[in-house]
Amino acid sequence: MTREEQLYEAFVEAADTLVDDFDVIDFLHTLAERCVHLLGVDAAGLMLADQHGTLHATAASSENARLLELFELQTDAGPCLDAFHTGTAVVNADLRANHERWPRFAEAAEANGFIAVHALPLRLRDTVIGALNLLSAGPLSDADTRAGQALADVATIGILAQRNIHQAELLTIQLQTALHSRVTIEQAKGMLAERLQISVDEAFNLLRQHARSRNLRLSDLARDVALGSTAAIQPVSGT
Amino acid sequence: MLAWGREKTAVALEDAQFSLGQGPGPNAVTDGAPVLEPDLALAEAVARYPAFTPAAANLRVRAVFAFPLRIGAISVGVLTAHRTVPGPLTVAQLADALALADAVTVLLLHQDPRRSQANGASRKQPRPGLTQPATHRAQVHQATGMISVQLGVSLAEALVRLRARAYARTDSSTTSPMTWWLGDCASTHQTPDHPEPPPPCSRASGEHTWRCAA
Repeated sequence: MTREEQLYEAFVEAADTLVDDFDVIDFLHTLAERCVHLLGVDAAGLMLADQHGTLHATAASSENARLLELFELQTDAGPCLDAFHTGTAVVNADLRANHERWPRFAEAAEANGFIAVHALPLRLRDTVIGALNLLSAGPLSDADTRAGQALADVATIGILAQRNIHQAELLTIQLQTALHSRVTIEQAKGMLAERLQISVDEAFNLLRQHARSRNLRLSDLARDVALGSTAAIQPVSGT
Repeated sequence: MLAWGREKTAVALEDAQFSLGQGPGPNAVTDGAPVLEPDLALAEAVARYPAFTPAAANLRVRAVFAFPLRIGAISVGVLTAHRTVPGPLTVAQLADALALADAVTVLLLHQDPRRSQANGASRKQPRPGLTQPATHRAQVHQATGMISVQLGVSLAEALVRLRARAYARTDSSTTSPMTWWLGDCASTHQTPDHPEPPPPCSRASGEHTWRCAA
């Protein structure tokens, strides 16, 4: 698939957000994966703000514990927080030059082999609801930056996923619910990891595969696993 | 079970929702999301709650706002607020209500009356540090899931034990009290320090009802 075709596909997926069985966390994971393929970055993550303006890691291109930690480190200081507060993109920030600006994040990101970082605001009109974070070993071109912002806009559409979202209260509730879905997924990952003696990363992949193969919403499946009301999920061979 | 009600209307409203099995409160628990009904006289509201709206009207209640008390899949109940005049919450009021719901969730989690009975009266107040909001850090929730499987307890019980133990084992100067402890637990699938045996009764969810008059 060409890059244009892949971009089209990402937009078509966004149109699916209006269907009833849409699952926002699953959608954001797919989008984060697409960012990596389309923009030539090494990792992508989405952070959403709660009602206090605190950012939370909501989806990532890979459910790697160290990567999630990198996103969470930005709760206090980091490119996502800057993009969230200013509403403007942070592009091609060199980690080596930003140790004072983002002490904990810059150090941890460098230790993981990243060199450049980018954060694109997730905006709905005048409101910023979070940021799309991109980590790479090299700079992002202008075309990549534009494509990245288009994907960030797609993410915003997906998160809102509701036709009457212009009401501020609905936006607050939608974000709150997405964050609780994410917590439920973490709880289910922990339970599965312990039960099957696998890593939490593997547990997430298992949950997602199971949800897809049975046409279940990821959040519903996670809740059923967490509440113990689903049949045992078995490891899939070859994963 | 009603945990706290401030005045007669709130108690009667909760009784109506409970006995009819219908209303913003039960819906908030089922959906796991806040339910805001700024005007119960609207046709949509009457259609949604055909039995509850007349009961609310008898109590002169015109607006009801219900907030689930949850941390992911852990549900400890619902916080219900009402008004005698119609109208939506402001954005600031909504943010306050969500913050209050978070705080109440943590308090209720640490104040399970059955656990207090089982372990003596010492659990009536959360220990210092435990009144902080439940963290959103992914590792905490993963570890909660692991501990619940290891010990065969509910997620709520697992989270209470995790928080109590993490705070007990770190001094207040540590910036992130859970981090080192979680590191062990999550990477090895082991509970580093075997906690006390499970309590005699397991927790059911959604049994507390909190309410306040807005």
